[in-house]
Amino acid sequence: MEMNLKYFGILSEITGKPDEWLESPAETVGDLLEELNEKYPAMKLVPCQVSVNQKLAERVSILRKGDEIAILPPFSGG
Amino acid sequence: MNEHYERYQRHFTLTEVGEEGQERLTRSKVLVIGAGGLGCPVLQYLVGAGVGHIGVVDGDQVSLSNLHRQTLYTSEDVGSDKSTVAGAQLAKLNPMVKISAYTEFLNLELALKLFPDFDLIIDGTDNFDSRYLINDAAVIMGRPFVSGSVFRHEGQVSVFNYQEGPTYRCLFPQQDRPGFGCAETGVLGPVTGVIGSIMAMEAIKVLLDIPGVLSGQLLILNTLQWASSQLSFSRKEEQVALAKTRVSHLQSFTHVK
Repeated sequence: MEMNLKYFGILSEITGKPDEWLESPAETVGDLLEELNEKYPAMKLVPCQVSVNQKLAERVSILRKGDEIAILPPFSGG
Repeated sequence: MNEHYERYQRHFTLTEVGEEGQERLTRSKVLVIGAGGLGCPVLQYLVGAGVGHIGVVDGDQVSLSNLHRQTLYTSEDVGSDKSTVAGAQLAKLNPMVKISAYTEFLNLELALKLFPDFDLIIDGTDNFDSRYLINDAAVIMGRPFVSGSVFRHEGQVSVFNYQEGPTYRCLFPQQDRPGFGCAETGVLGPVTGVIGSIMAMEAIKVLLDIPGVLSGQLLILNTLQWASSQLSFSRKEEQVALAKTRVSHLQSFTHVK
């Protein structure tokens, strides 16, 4: 299933890109994060939130083909 | 033309402000925590707009490396208390505004003492401990707060605890994560300027009940591509309850910026 991922903050540095289309067997947000943690090990160190189609999602949220998934850490600087 | 009318003339022609809105701003009280990269533009715009009482909380001193983005300070101010210098500059900008400067870092005791005296809190701090502290004290005291933060060329803005809306913990529940301040990551001056200006706009919307407040919405702005994203989130009662119970834990922080 193909999905559209967007990375924010330090995650775009860890992945080396601001976004990507990913072909993934992940059925839930939790599955997807596990897959990404393997693909980009440094991501494990960054607690982050996930939104699906511009809405904050839970780890158990179900993913569908073509979903726009944003992965974002909180920022602290000021 | 009297001074009041001339000073706020550009507000009077706006349907969102007008004479009634200006009167409301004059009666409003806003507490700005952190007089740094985000706090400076917020303070300048809110004092310029004629908010009646502005409190400034910052225990830091001006350093040379602040000056590229903290627009209230000059080279002569290096070493002086930020909130004192900010207060003096802001009084020159608009002597009609009452300004209270607190030359200490926010801690729980100070937050619980000050928050009831203000209608709206602004979080312009630079670390997670302060962000959770402000959230928890705002929840306990029933005050909305405008929150802004930056990471290099990106910024986030939202308004929390507004009219029973979601809180900071509803969006970012975990704690004990590494934070990256501007000192470690670097930042271009205009980035905090842009994000601070958005925060000032949200503050004015809250004070005047202008629709479209970023409550339950996180705005994320990338200042290189000018790409903006928004995501929506809702209130989670267990996170609101957690804010109230965290008070005892937070008391252990004695030096929270």
